[in-house]
Amino acid sequence: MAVFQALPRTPENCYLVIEAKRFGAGVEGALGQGKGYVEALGVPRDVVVTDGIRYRMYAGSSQFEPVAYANLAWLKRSAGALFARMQRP
Amino acid sequence: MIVRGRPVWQVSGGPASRSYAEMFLKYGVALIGPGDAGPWTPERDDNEFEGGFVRRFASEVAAGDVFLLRTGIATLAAVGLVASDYLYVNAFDDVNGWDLQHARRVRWCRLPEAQAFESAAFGANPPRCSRVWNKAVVDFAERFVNSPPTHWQTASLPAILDEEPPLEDVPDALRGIVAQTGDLVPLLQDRQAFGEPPSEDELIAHFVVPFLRALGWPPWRSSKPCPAPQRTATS
Repeated sequence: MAVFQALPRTPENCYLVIEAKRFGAGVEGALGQGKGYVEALGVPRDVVVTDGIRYRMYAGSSQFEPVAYANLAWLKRSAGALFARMQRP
Repeated sequence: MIVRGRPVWQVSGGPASRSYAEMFLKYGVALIGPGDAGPWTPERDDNEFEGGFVRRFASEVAAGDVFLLRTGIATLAAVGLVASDYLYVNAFDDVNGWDLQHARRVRWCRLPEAQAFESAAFGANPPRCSRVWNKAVVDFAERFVNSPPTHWQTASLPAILDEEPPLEDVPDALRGIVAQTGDLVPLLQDRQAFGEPPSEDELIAHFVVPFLRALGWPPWRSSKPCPAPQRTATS
């Protein structure tokens, strides 16, 4: 799915791409699919992979390096960075 | 170091879709779960740890034993020598979502390329940690450890991961979704009671979208699927 920072919901207004996988399937393996969506959009955007519980963000501007992580069932201090990055600006 | 006759063990680096093998190599460890059950002690029953894997890992493995890092049914990514007694390391309580606090320090040597054996070399359904009896595998392990280069066997161990403190102040807007997640996870982990895990669409509807809403995104600011890029008309 795509999240938009402005309307209309066009690729250039896309803020980030979220790729969801069913629980237990392994969210990290979904990065390739998320990158495929970003490449199709034609604009560099961050990718978040999730199973609804764990969220891992990869930076589209730096070769999809992992930059933030949160496990909502087991929150650690660094989860704040993911919340800040996913917060609506 | 001649290791002939030393026990050889295989330890899983996790399924391909959610591997944690790189953590082993990065931090010089071997890890197994379930770690949330707490530290293993001889008084504790195997049933508390989903079987005897943790007991064997904690009590039967000895420093100097050979560990093989298995990354497929019968594929190895690294060979290592056990370098510590059993440890319980809270820092590994969430490794790609796995609770892997049961640890051993290991000096690993990454193989230049994955080493594959016949499919049943570690058993038809290899456990997360077990003694290896397959002659071809044991021979490989012994030859590897007894052949140069051997500098990795005495190299300094990398620093272990620091334990990260819990998030103390959950933002008010997220408290509801965090509480719901806390309710859901124990239910999902009991496959017999829950049945089939929820589909991707269910998770999006019940967790991802509410999470986005809590982060300030109104419903009309998201779409599934992603928008198609606008294409330039060609003649």
